[in-house]
Amino acid sequence: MFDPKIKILVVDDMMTMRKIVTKALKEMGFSDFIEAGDGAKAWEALNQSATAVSLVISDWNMPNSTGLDLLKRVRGDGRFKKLPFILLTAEAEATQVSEAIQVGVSGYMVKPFTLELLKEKLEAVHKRHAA
Amino acid sequence: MLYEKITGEHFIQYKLNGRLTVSLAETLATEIRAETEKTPKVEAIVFDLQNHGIEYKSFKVITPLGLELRKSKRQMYAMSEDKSISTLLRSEGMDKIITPIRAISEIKRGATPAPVASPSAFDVNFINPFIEGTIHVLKIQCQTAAIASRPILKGSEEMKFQTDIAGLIGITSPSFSGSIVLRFSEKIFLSLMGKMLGEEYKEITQDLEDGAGELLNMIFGHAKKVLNDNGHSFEKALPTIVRGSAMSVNHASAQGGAILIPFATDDGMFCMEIGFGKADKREEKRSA
Repeated sequence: MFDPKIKILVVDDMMTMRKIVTKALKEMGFSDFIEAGDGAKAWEALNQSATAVSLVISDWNMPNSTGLDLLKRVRGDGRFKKLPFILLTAEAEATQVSEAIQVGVSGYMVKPFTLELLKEKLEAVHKRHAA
Repeated sequence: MLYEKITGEHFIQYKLNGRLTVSLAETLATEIRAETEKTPKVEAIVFDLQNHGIEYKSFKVITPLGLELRKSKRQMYAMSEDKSISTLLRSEGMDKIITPIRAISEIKRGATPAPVASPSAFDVNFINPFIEGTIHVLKIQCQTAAIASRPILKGSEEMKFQTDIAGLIGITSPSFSGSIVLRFSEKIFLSLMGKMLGEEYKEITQDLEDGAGELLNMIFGHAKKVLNDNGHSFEKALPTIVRGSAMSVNHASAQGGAILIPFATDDGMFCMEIGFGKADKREEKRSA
C-alpha cells in the first residue's frame, strides 16, 4: 500500500467531491494533500509543489482542462511518466475507458464509491506501479 | 500451446492455458482481426480465461480491439468462474468493452440494441434508472435511505416542495430532449451534505452549492449507463446549480410535460423533476 506520508493531488471542479475524496483518504491515514479545480491548475500544482506528488486522483469531466488532458500532460513529461494516476468519473463510457488506458491511466473509478472500494483501488494501483 | 481455438456457430472461443499477458493479447488480437474479417457471421469473441487472470497492461491491447469489434456489431467476452476477474473488469470500467460471463450460454445474440423511440412522461423504463440512481447514490454517498413515491405529472396534483437549491442537467439526444432537475429545501440539502462530507452545516455556503450538482452528476451517470445499454445515446453533460429562496422550476422546452418524483428520507423530502421536450429529430434522422 502507499506510504501514508505521501503527498496526494486531488483534482475536481466540484469542491464537495474533493472533500469526499480527501475525507476518505484521511480515514485511510493520509494527511498531505493538494487540491486543484481543473487540469490546468493541477498541472501548475504538480510543477510548483515543494515536495513531490506521489499520487494523482483526478475527476475526468471538468470544464477548461479535463482529467484526460491532465493525464496526457503528465504522461508526456519524463518526470511524471510513472506517477500513479487514478481517474474518477460518474460516467464510464467504453471509448473513455479505452482512451484513458491508451494514454496510461493507472486505475479508473466510478462515482459514487465506498471507502472500501477506494482502498482496494489504491492497493491495486500501488501493486501495478511496484511491479 | 498458449491457447486453443473453438469455433461455434456465432462465436469464436479462445481457451487460454495461462494468464492473458500483453504478448498473448497481441497475438490474439492479430488472429481475431483476421478471423472476423473472413468470417462475417461471428458475433462474439470469447476469451476463456479459466482461472488464469488478466495482466492490467494487456487492457491497452484489448480496448482498441473491443471498440473495433463493437463497430462491426460484435461483442467481446471474458469467461471465467473466478469472481476476481469480473471484479477487476468492472472496477476498471473494462466491462463496457469486454463483458464478463461465466458460461457460453450468457452470450447475447444481437449485442447492439436498436435505437429506442422517444420516451413518454410515464415510461417506467426511462424513469426507473433515475429513481434507482438516486437511491443508490444517496445510500453510498450520504448513507441515507431514500424511498421514491409514485411519479406525478407536474401541475396535476397539489404537492409543494420548497426549493432553495437545485442541480440541473439539460440533455439533447436522438431519443430524448429535456432536463433533469434535483430539487432540495435548505434543510434536507444541509442534512445530506453533512452526511456526505462528515461535517455539520448551518447554511448553504458557496462552497457547498456544488454538492447539488455532484449528486445529480452521479445519479445521471448511473441512469445514463442503464439507458445507453438499452439503446439510448446520451452523451456526458455537466450539471449547473440554481440557488434561490423558495423558487419554482419551469421547463421552458418541456412540450412533452414534466413529471415529479418525490423521495422521502428520515430527514425530510426532496424531489426530482424530468422535463420532456422534443427529441433531436435531426440527429434521429442521421442515426436512422
